[in-house]
Amino acid sequence: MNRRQLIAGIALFGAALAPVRALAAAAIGGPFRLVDQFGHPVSERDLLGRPSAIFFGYTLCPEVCPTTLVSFGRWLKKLGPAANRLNVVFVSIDPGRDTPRQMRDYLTSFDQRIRGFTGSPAEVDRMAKAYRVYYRKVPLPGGSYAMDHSAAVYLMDAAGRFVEPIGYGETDDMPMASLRRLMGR
Amino acid sequence: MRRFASRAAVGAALLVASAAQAHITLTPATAEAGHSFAGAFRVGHGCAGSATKGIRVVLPPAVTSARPQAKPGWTIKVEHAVGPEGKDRVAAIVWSGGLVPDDEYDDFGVMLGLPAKAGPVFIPVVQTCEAGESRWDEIPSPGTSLHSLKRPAAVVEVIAPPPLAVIGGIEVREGWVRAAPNSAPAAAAYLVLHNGSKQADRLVSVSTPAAARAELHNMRMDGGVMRMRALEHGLDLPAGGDAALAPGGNHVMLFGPAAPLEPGGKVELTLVFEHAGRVTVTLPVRSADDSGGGGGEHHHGGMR
Repeated sequence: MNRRQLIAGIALFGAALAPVRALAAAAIGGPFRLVDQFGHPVSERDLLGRPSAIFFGYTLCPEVCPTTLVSFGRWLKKLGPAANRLNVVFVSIDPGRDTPRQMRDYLTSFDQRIRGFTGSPAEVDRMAKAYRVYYRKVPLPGGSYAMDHSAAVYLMDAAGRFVEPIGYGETDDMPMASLRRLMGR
Repeated sequence: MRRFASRAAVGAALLVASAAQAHITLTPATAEAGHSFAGAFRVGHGCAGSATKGIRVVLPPAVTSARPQAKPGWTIKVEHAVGPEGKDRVAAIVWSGGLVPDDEYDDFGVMLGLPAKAGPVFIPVVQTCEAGESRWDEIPSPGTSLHSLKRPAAVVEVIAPPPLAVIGGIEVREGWVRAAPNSAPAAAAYLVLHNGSKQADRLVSVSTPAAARAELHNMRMDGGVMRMRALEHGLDLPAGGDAALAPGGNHVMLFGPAAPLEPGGKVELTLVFEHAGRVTVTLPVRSADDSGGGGGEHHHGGMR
């Protein structure tokens, strides 16, 4: 992994989300070739034509990822029928453990409209870089490992352009305002 | 246990004292933390001799949920507002359309979700009578007595449940395990430790038959990045101090749950302290939806 890009990514998020908004929209997002939780190939083209909410995590994550996924269930319900026009995608930054099968089983616990993407480490890395997502493997004493990762949700318009992020832990009114704006575009 | 009993007695005394006056009171006057409260607002008198036509109770945000009991002959209106985490909450309940003569009393039933933390919860009540109204909305400032007030709000005292276990002066409290999604390779357990002894101690390790391995971890949000680390030296417990394993911070990471961790389940956890020794507690598995999800800071987040 390119060390400099990684550090740039940390600095970007380290300074809170404001700089992300300030970036040119074209700077976030890009092509990817992954597989969904059913093992079907997916690319950035599958998301075009509808707005998307994309976030990155892993199934071993004990708190942030399940909380975000549960929140999405609530947000989609609040959006009503408009939610059916939104792509919601959970991308694993731990493809070594998160096989399509693992993603499929895990996602059965959440709103069934949420899709899970995983793939080869190189392709996951390409997508993470395109989305300015920071992630890093951290060894744990018992032999396992955890993943540090950016926890924000990326909102993209129907043309695949970055619109704005939803930060982790915000109260529902802010994400709902962002999602309604996104759906009204 | 002794503390539990004595606080309940204080609460009971408070109820008797208040009921003897013209206040609107909550009965029972105490509730155990973590349990929903089923009780009633008791109207003992009218307003200076005039019959009561209605009451309006104003619920503070600390009240997490509220449902009035159906009351024949009365119209009930529930007023909503946006609460913590953007969730809808009940801000007030209004009973109207009935009549309680001055020399009779009546109860207005409610089921309330109360905070997990011990302490009083004050609920202002406006009593409307055929002639005039009484506003029971005074809240004592810290250190002053409810009895010094002319128009005290209704109050329910939330009492901390007894500790799950006590060993060598260390109390284990408020433990729970976050229900895990299907096939999740790990789950988090939380608890609060209070070191009542004069000696500093340390939670060194944890183990459980419910998972292949348990480790003490810390997670934190660092400018939008979630970071998780092992607490390789355990968790310090200063003499007389608390250490919390709670969402958004320290937790016990359970790797490889032996069986699905579903709400209603139980997990046995053995804690090993440097000085106090080892103790085993049984923790309930809870859904994250109990607390409304949303994020880092709050108590139990969760899963359906």
